[in-house]
Amino acid sequence: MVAWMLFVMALASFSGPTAGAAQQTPASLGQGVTMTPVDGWVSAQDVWNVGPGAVSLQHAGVLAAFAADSYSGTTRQLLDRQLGDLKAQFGSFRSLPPASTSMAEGVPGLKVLFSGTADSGDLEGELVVGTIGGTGVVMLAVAPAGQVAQVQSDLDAMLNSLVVP
Amino acid sequence: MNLSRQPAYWLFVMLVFVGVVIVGSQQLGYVATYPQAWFLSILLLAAVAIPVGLIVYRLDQFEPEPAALIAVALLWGGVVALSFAAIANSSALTFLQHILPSKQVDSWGAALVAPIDEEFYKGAGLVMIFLIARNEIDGLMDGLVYGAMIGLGFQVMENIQYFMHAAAQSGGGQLGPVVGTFFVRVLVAGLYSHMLFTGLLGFGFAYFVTRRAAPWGIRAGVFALFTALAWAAHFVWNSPWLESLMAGSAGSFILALIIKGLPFLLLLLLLGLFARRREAQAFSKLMVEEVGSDVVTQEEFQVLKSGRRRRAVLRQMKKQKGPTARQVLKRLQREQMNLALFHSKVDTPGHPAIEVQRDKIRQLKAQLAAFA
Repeated sequence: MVAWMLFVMALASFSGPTAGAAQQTPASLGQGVTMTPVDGWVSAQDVWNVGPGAVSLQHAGVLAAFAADSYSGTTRQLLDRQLGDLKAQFGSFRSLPPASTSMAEGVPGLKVLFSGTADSGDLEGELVVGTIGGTGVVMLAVAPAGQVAQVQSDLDAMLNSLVVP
Repeated sequence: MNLSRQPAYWLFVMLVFVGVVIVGSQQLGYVATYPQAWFLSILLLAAVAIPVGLIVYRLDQFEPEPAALIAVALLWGGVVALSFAAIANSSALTFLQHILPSKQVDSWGAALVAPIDEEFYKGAGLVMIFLIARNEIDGLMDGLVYGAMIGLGFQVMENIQYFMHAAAQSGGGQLGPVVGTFFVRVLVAGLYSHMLFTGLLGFGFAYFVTRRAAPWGIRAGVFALFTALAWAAHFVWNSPWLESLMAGSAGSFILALIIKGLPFLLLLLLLGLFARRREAQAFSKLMVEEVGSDVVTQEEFQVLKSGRRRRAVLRQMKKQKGPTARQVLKRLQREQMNLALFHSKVDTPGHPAIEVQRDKIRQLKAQLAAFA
């Protein structure tokens, strides 16, 4: 039992570029914003190219992208825009009403959890946005159904690791 | 039954302790954050899990499993298997992300990882129960019951996670999403879940450990076949097949669920009927020396063989002579059925333990006669 668990953990550790400590260093997003990946999360740039000013990571079946750019609208407007983009990529799409949250140790934001069917199957995810001082920050996590909850604490930790100048 | 005499029991206790630390801290977090949603989840799940558990428990009508071992099965599924499987699932998905394209992991990750990890850890519970009390797994029905109970424990605790996630998604621990998730995961799709998968696995495991007269290769083959069936049922259920149907109307959603789950459920029901018939045959064989005596009359034997007839006779007794007489008759039926168990454990019909049991039955008959 324990052996099987250790076996799959070892597979996960040795099969790819875990890069351990290197991943612990802060990654730069746009507008001077930085975020620090949680241990175990590795770059997903080869499977999800999110372009400049953003970083994509993967762990435990979950893909997460963090992005920051200049933005002059409200947090709600940013959320609606991101949700509109997301909906366009899903065949069927359901999202729950936005809830207040915080990121970067106190910056207020909005969080939406969604699920839907895309080309790659039945997916669920979490979208978090925040705006501060002309900068908009977005976090989008997508995973097979049921998997986001398993890494929720990691996502929260990475959102709190954001540093907005 | 003193389980603590077995070393395997203490291993079980240790693993439960580890699982309780993991699952317990998670549950405490849920209660602290969304107390109302958590209590509603418990109420809703209890309202379904308790009757379902009782139905599964009653499947084995001739030799009900000890409550202590049923508790072991539920705890294993809900605490040990769930904790270990969650860790293994996450690691296995991370591994898949390294070797498969992202879209493939999104589509097939849950179908590839969960059946292997979860059925492995739930199946380990069957081995644990066998090591703790190997005499208790002596028929195909026993494996089916223990497997389904492990699955039930797993399913209940996993559903709490889903319900609380739905509550968290609503932003404030609202109750509506909990009820919605309950409707889909329990009322609509609940039959095609872990109870079904591990029930199949349990049947195969029981075949392997109880059919000692069969060649080893056949026993291993049957076990492998049912392990593969359990895995396949889980795989099909988690796979993205029929997703376009599931994304459509409520009718097409339910049709997709039926296509994905019903064949395996029907198979399990057939296996249950088969196992029950085997138990009835074994019961008749064991009671052959008693039937027609003052301990078990021919008429009583015909009643004992059928759960429906036993319940009908109990109802009739309550109506005619009151609830106390019904209680005595119920005890009498149980002790008469236990007589078959005694015959299965000892070689000689005149064994002192059997004589004691016969006397107990005679005393209950005398008590019952007093109600006339």
